[in-house]
Amino acid sequence: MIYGVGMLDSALTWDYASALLQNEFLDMVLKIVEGIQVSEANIAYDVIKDVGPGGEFITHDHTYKHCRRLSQTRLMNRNTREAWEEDGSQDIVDLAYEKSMDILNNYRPKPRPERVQRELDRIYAEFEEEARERKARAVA
Amino acid sequence: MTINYKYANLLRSGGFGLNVFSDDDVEQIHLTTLDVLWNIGLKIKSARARDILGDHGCVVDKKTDIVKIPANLVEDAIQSAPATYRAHAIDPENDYVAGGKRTGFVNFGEAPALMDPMTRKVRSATKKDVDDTVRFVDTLENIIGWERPLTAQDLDVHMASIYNTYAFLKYSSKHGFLGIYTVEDFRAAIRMGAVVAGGEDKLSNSPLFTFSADPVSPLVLTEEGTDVLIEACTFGVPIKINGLGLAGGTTCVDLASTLVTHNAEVLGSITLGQLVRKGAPMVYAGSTSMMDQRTTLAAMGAPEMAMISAALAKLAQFYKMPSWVGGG
Repeated sequence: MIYGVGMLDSALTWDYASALLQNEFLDMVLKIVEGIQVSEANIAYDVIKDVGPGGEFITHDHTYKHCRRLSQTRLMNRNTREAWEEDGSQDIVDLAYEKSMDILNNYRPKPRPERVQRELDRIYAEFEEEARERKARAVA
Repeated sequence: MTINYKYANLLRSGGFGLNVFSDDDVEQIHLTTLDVLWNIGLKIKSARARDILGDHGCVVDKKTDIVKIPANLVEDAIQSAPATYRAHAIDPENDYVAGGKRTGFVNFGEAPALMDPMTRKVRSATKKDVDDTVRFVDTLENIIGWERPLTAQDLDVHMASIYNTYAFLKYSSKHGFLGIYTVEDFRAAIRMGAVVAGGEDKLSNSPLFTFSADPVSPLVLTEEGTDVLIEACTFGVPIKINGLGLAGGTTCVDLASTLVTHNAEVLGSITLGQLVRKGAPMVYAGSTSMMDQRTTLAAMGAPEMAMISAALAKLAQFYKMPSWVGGG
């Protein structure tokens, strides 16, 4: 396990945009760690034979079927500069903050059963009360 | 098409990796660590820990609290510490199995402030921010567990730790990596965790979180951290032993030496944990880096940290234990 996502200033400041960007960089890191898997299926000899010298792979069924094996980006933009400018030249950091706000505003986890929530609240309140009493005693 | 055939004893390269050490390098670090643990020892500030270790043949100096640990106890602990553990998630779909060469990523913890995503100004973290990070990290599919990114500043330190556990248990669907600093925080986490797991026995069999005990370099185990370690091993909650050395500051400027003292702190803690309960799940961990010699600050993104992290992962593989290291 390797920790480290989402911090600025030597871990004094949490930053959503940086966490989101790094989550995407990890797509790339994990892709590299996966390495080049050599096997009969991955060598796909028959596809090479099918396409033949001077042919093309773009329209081959094998390419269509497995195109998601190649890395894809979400925030990073692999377009040409012209296309990026036509789309409004959005800065990747701006985009990351925009997506962060989108997650914070819209992502709702499935709630725990009500009984569990009540019990958690009760235990938390109990410790809060203990802490308050301890503080009161310390002041006295 | 071709004639059907089979390969005999074919070896595949399973992925990219680094060669940090030769086998002899690892052996030398290991043997020197055993020498350090027996002839120099660890200063152990927990009386409970000193008693347990003393009962099993360690030499305890009552005046200095220095405990000398014989090699056979350390070797036994290396054998009995599990090579793998399942980091159970609140939604079992998100379980992560740690160990061997499997690699997964976790966010960084634990900061007092955050960059407000609306205003883009740095401000103090609140309870609501803690809740938000749990929901947010839940959506990051490359992050295998929620490590508390923030300490809420609208609470005192003690309640802030309990609040992290509470928010995690309330909103997350992943495994939790929690900072539990006192036996009381531990008690709160177990009681609340049992509510979500469906009972203390279930939580003990399938723990939803991993705790952390941080030795202090060089060669010191703190009182409260070590007591939490004893409690965690007794209960069955996995615990990371997270060394925090700074080469050129709290450890030697030579990285091989830094690795030896780091290793001694971790293996000493693991020996204690395995004496508390044989087979208790423990993680070989480290956030060791270097002290910038000009500013005297911890340099978290330094190349030394990358090398130390890779080296610690290698040592953990040598000991057949799951590892946790800093990515900077």
